[in-house]
Amino acid sequence: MSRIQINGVTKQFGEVTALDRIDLDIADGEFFCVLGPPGAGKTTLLRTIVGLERPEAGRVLIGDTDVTDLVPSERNVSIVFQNLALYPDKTVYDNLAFPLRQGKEKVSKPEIDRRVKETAEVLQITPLLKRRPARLSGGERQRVAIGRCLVRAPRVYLLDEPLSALDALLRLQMRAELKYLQRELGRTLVYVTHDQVEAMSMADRICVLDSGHVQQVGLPDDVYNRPVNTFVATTVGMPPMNLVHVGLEAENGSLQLRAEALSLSAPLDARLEGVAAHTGEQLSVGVRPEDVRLGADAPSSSPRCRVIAVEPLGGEVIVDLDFDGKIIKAMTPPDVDYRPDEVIPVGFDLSRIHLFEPSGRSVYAANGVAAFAQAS
Amino acid sequence: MAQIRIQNVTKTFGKFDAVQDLDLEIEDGTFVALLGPSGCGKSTTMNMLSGLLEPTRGEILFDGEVVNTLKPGDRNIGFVFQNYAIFTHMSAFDNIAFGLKVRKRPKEEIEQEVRQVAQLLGIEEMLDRRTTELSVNDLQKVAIGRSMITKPGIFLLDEPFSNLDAGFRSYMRAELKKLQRELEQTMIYVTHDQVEAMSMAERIAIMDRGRLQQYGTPDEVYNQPANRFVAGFVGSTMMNFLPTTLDHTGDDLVLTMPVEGARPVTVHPRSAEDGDDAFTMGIRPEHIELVDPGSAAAWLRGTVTLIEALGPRNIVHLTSDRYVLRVVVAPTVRPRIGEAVGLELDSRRVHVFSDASGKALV
Repeated sequence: MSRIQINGVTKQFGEVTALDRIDLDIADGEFFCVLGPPGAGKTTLLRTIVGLERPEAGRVLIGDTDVTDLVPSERNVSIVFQNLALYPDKTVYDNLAFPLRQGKEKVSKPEIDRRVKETAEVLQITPLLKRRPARLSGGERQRVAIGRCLVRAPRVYLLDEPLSALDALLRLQMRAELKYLQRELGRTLVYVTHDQVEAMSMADRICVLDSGHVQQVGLPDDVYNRPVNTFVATTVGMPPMNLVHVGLEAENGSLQLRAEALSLSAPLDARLEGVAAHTGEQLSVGVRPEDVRLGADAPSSSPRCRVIAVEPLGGEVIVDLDFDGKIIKAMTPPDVDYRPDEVIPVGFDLSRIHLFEPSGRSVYAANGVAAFAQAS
Repeated sequence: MAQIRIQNVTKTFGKFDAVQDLDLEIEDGTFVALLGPSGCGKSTTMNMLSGLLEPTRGEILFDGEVVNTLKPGDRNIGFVFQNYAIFTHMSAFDNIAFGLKVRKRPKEEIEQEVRQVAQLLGIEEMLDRRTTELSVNDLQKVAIGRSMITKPGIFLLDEPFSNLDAGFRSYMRAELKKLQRELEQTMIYVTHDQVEAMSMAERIAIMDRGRLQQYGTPDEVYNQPANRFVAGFVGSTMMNFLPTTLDHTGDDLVLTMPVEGARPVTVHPRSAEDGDDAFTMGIRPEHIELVDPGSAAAWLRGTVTLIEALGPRNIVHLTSDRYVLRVVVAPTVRPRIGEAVGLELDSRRVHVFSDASGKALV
């Protein structure tokens, strides 16, 4: 059993609260990603689990054991750091064998040999065993670092941005490899990253962290389609969700959302009561780039916007538009041919929009059913 | 503004050729990305353009004038680096104004130009702040502003966004592209990130192991990769590759893949064969569709091993015989792991590469 429970953990560095009453329950065998910008507290959280930081308050449990007061070597966890920390003077073999030779448990020489070779096999680095790190490519070094973490068969694997130093292409390959590997090993893995693609593609569940606070914990589908606030909405998804400021008014039993280039209305029903409570305030309409409709795909009454830039990505095109003086991004199939300074109709898929109150909290997500319609 | 010609340039460190026989012509006012993995020679090329390194052989010309031995300060270039070199004891205003102050421009002119640059970059309100009070994102804007203000003929950017968070990076991509269009400045942007290169540049020079692999528009490098390296490097999800044999029938080529149950594919070659006898076919994950495994249209059959749900799209990983393939599907398409699926491909989107040279035939 290697469930991880983090109960009310607070960690302070002087005046700075790096973690503020964090509660997390990570299931046995789960691939759990902690996603957030630099300074969110991700690494501190990882270091608290591994035992390199002692929290001021709260408890950390691994399995059924309270490990809060245990030193790292007593916790049976392995960590891969961002900077890999391989021994440059040791061969790949010796780098892999190191945790076994230095560990608390006495491991016999033939057993070390067996486990090093087995790990190398899994990671496909057997031909590299005699080389030193300087003679390895970035991806190979990465695998050695992960191998060093695997070789001990700990209860829990902790990885701190292990792919961030790699080229984009290698990152892409390693993503799938890591996920395969974790599934095969069936052990709990906590993965810290600032890259939402890594989190979305690998995680069973994602915890979005900001300024030491948990913003949302959920399936990739949850954080993408039902973000609880604007922070999660703009952290998950690339390009980020577009946010357009609108005023909210109530008129004759209907709700009106108005901006210079946007006018939406909905009959006030039970589903919109939470929204109606914000009448008279400025809300944000959230719409993902893939839910922005352009040109002939936009409804006929759509506002017209100037194209600022067109970014061809091969498989799709990002069109940057001037919407009420603010840049919004639309993601479209690659067969469009828009030019900068062209003025084109821009519409939102109203069955996919979100509404956020001034504090950033989500008050409405269409989730496939459009309550609002374009006002005439 | 300047036109750049790199003629047959080689840069050697000891016995190692960091850049080999590079030929590149950059039109005045274009936005060019130098793209490649680490160690490909892109930064060495950049350093030769900036004057930090001298070519071992060959010539670099700015507007027809050889600049090989010209010092960086005499080249009329502006730089932005990954680690923006900002004066931390100065305000944002003074940082941006620095280049003009050194040139002893009149105070009113400096004031006016700094405001103009700040407005373009959207940092007018931050001008009076000390740089220690600015976010990483705003610091990078200050760094760009500082390089812009002297109106250099060539603007060199070395992975300037790699320290920024992803959301801001995507915003800066559009901003920089807009800026470059407004200034009509020759801009060279070094990156290992194909998304940045594809989204911003008018032309992309793709390098690998010191050699230029292809120089073309984003559309060309994506749709007509010159070789297998380019095909694998460009594209947000890597192209699928399978070994294949070739048979001629008239003007067409028939590809037969040694994969159990694979249907042959007929394609039209765009360049002559080079006498090789081993080939690889390539198809992008977004150019394959999942169909019923029993469908007559299925080119291959496979078993789903992994699904990456990325939000706007899902990447389905599957195995077919001994091979791993990736298919990009809509977010609503979610086959189960272990499910048998059929793959239908668009034969107009198939690429063929010679194994010996890597060169694209189709």
